[in-house]
Amino acid sequence: MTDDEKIIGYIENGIVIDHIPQGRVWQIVELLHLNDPMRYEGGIFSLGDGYESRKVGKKGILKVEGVSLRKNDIDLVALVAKEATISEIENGRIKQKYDAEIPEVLDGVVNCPNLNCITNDETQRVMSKIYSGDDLFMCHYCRSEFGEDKIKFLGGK
Amino acid sequence: MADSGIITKQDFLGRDVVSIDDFSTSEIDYILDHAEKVQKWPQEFEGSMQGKQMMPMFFENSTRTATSFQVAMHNLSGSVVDLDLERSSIKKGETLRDTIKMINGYKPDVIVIRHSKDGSARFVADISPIPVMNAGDGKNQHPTQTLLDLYTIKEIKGTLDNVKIAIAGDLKYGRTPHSLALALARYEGCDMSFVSPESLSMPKDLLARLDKQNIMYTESGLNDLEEVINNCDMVYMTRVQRERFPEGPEGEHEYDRVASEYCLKESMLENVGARFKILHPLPKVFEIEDSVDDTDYAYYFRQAENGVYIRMALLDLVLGGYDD
Repeated sequence: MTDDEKIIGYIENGIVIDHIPQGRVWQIVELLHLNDPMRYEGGIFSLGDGYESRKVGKKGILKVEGVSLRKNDIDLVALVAKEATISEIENGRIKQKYDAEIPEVLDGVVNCPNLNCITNDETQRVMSKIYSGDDLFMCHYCRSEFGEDKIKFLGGK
Repeated sequence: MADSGIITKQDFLGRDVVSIDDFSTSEIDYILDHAEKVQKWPQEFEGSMQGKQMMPMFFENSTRTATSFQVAMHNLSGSVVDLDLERSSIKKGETLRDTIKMINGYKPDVIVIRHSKDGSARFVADISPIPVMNAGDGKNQHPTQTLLDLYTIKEIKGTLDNVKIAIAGDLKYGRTPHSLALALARYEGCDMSFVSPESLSMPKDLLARLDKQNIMYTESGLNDLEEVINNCDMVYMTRVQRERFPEGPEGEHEYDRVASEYCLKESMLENVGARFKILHPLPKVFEIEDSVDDTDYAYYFRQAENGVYIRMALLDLVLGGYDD
């Protein structure tokens, strides 16, 4: 991490998400509900955007204190920023670092774009299940195939 | 899903029938052959479902599919539960999950489901330990219809290779033409002519799939129907529904225009081949002139009859009737 990147905040215990393509940091904040006081009461996060990156051109960084990511959260990060790296910080040190990776199966992460799919019927309460392929995603239930441009995250974002 | 090799009856035991895509071409061929045995030697299959019970769950209206499933089960000496979903808790807001879990407690041997939501049959199959047969889930799949269509085409032509078929009507929203086109594309030398109003033409993603497989097809407007069928072994007609057009006077006008143009008249059959046949999944409304019913070309009532043989074959295979 360069000195420039360090100025956006030090965290003691939490996570750092690096190599987020420029302009997508806030989307991750929203998807992980980091700005939702009902979810992360007292949580502190800082973010920076527009840093030079050999990996993604211009990148953003997100640092969150007091938070660990669940599998669904990591899946969300991967969908928005597949080049991202995630570091778990403990006592100010990197405990574990890994690449965000779109999993083969996305359970309850994104909506099927087919409005008549059973997973989009709120009265049925069927969790979405989407397979990710090389170019396309496919709904397990209705088998609709769709590209990245059709992705809608649960909650409509 | 077995891709190749020898298929046996055992391969179908306990399987769900949710989508035609869940079956390899060899397995489809096996099902069609089995249906032919059922049709030719029905007495061999009497009693094969003795003591077995079917639970039909039709959340949407159905005449042909529901009845032919029931007749199929009865022909095999099985029983059918008389479930009236109109008076059930579904109307009180019970989820499909709860309904299916409750029904499973009654220990039927097979669930047959029709539901308005795409993917509902797959969902039910996932949570149900007993086999599930999809009798139509929304706009998505209706595998027993596709199988009976293939069976009928094979009956007419003697093979599913080198079939020259026109598929006409609502090709945009109709699930039947989509499934049929993709199923026929599995076989050698298929040549398809799609005839529809421009606003109801085959979806681009489906055409792209056919392109990928180097399948021969053409697209034409309704005015070309007569010319197109002259060069085909058969035509598969489908219904055009009012609700597929926009609401309001413009949609009404467009529907009326299509309704007046889209009709296979007896006079249009003058130059078709002697063995030409007309298929239709039924119900038909205005798209086939009534007098066509009495010609040798009309094959749709026989097609509906074949639905019983296909469903008998599937029940026998999935529920493990007599060994061959």
